[in-house]
Amino acid sequence: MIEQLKNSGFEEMTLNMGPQHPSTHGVLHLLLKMDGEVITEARPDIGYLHRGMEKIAEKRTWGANIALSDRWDYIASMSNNFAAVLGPEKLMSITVPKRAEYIRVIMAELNRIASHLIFFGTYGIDIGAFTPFFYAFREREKILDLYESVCGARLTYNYFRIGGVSADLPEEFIPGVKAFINYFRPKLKEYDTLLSTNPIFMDRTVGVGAITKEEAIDWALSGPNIRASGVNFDLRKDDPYSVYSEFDFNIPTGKNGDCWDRYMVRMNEMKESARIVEQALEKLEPGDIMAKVAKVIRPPAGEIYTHVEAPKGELGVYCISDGSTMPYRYKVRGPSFVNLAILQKMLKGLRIADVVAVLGSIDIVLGEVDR
Amino acid sequence: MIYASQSLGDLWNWLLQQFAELCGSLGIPEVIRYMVEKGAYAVGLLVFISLTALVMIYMERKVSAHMQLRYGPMWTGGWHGWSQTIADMIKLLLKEDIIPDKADRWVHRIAPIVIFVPSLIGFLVIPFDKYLIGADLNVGILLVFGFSSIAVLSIFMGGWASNNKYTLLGGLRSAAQMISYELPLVLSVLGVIMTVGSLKMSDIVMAQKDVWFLFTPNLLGFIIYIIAGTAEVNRTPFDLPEAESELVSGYNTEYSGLKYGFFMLSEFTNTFIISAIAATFFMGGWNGPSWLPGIVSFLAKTYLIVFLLMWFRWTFPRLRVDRLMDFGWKFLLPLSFFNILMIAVWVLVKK
Amino acid sequence: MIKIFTYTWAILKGMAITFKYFFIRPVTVQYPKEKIKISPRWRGTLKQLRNEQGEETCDGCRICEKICPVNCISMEVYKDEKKNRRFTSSYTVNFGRCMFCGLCVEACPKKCLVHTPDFEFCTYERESLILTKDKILR
Repeated sequence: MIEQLKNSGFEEMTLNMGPQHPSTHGVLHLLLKMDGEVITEARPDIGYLHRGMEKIAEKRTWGANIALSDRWDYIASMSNNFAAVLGPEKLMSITVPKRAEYIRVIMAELNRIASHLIFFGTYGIDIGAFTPFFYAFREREKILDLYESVCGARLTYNYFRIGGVSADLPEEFIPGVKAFINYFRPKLKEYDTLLSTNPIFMDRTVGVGAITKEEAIDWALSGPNIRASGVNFDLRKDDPYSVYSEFDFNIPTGKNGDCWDRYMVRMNEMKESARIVEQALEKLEPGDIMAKVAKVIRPPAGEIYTHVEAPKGELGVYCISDGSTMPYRYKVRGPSFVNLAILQKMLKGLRIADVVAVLGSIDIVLGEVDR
Repeated sequence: MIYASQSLGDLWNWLLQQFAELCGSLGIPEVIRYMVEKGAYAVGLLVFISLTALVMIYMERKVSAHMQLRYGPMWTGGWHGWSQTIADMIKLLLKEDIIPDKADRWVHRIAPIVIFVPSLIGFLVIPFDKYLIGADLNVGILLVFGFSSIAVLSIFMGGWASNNKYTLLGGLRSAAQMISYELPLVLSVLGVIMTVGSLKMSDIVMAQKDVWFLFTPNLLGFIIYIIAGTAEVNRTPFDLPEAESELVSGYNTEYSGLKYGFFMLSEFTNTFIISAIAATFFMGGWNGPSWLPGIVSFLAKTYLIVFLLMWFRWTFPRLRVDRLMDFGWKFLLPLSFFNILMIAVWVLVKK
Repeated sequence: MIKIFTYTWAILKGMAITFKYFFIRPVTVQYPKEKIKISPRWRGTLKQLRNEQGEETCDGCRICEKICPVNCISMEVYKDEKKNRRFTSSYTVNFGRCMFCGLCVEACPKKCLVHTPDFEFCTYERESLILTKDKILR
């Protein structure tokens, strides 16, 4: 009977979700095969924002590549800068001054908060609640104001330099950060009442798109996505770069690896980031912000892979130097790109309304996926 | 004679009497007099509807804006952007009317009309004030629900005819949703009808002269009504037919210009009708303090419900479609049956 | 039953938050009428400074031209024998390409190239985004 029905004109619907769609977070094209509202096959089609970043990097000096790195994951540029400077610094064995290291950590952690705030806001919109978006952006603006006072830009900071940071903190920065953290903590509770514990929100996210521990490892997830599945993997603890080993912070993990867990991991991570920033502010002492580095940067020939824990996951840069002013090869491991791959597995059997819930929960930035 | 403290309803009644006397003295037949009276009311109603839509769209913008820490429109027309909606309407009128190439042209054209006309008819039986009611039918409330269920047809037509997968999904969703939420909606009102013993709107209002039904066991019915009503007019958390993040804009994705305007207008008029019925059935309609004109107290109550619906919209996320069905059939429907049972017992005990 | 109450309570708490914000003054600004204060370090359009005598300080060392990742600065240099230093005969910045990374300002050895706090440089033609020396030297 069912076979008969299937042969008599019941067909799967192919739905092209994106690249122009309000909630594919940019220009992601999802090819969905659907049986009614249930998805039988999903294929993410990427490349609409490809700018050839890795090739461009081969024709730019090491210093200029930091400015380019702003454009990978454009809502967490500080972490990108971090990844971009670590490689040449290691190649040239530069010791970065302590003050610069703490400033870097403060910036990266504030950027983590800003990035997760965007996740919180856009995830609310994905689920259908518009108002949290505006609350999240109000907080994010405060971080951007702080960044603007330091480096003069609000989105593409280009703040880190090989051997330090480009400018010292202005006077109003430290009290500004302290005020922000005191202001931000109660707001997180507000978000919890507004969205995290909202029964409709939980209904949409709990148990949806669950990833098991093994799957998460198999698909090479990183960042909050793998931590939500219960794998305690965080580069800040597992391979401490910069001065992260000096700080006392927890790594929030989830249990089931569903959308709600991924969401909650990020919400808790914001609290931990605030703690790290506070500790870093205490340890901040006057001093140099730049190591002694030659004006023209020529790392010795060699190759190196450095990675940082970006808000989206493990952001790695593999660069080969041939001793000239430009990298010979510059490979970026974008966390969003790797995390996006599991989408095709997760979406099978879900409904179309879950597509946006799942896609939003893995928190991709198309600029980093395509590069 | 009329004087200041009398309300619009009394004025209307006085005008009708004067007109009847005039007609009697001139010997104009009853039929023509009746037609002129009703025609005048209909014209007044049309003006009222367009004004209501403008006010509600402006209100939606301002309420959403202030809940989201924004100002909303502030420039157009000077004072707090009061004429923004008018400007938008003009923009909609001037926009190109696009019909997709492979669309079912006639159905695509008719759909906005099919949704708009029933929502106009609903206004006829709403008692704005004493005497101020288009047609005080003895099946008043049935008429409203009967016609409002035509809206689902239109949304489905629009979704189907656009020949777009998103609109199709939106149309199918809305068909499922509106049909299943119609049941709790009507059943929740049934409690009030049982207490009053009449379907006539004026009887229902008069029955609440002393105490609003909101403060009787009908409170449960009110809650069910608000939830089901929100679903019926496709507003968040039940706005699945036009779920923006999933279906782009749902059934009206392929509409533009004036046709889109009709869909939008009918969304707001339907919201108004749902709120007006809530005000009539549970909050005493035009009953209110004696110093307040009836229409003012009626509109105040209606806009309170409208504000409540907007408040819902800008607070909650959206339900998923299967959960929506579960909620409707497995929770709301049994609850409304329970409500009827409770009201029946209450009515018996009161007697 | 308890579930229903906890659900309703959570929903009401959420509604209380939005209602609270309904009465709080909005945080947005009415942009063209009021503008927010911009940080003095803001990386806006470029400007060349003159020294105290009113002479141009730039000696055409071409460092900014070389360091620019998007090649938006171009200049022509001549040598003034009388003053025994070089000057730029033309200095053009294509703001259509500029990504405001600030590397040129950082690299300038004479500290004569600076950012302005200007962020409103929309134009109708792309050509007017190419600023020549008379507009940059202020």
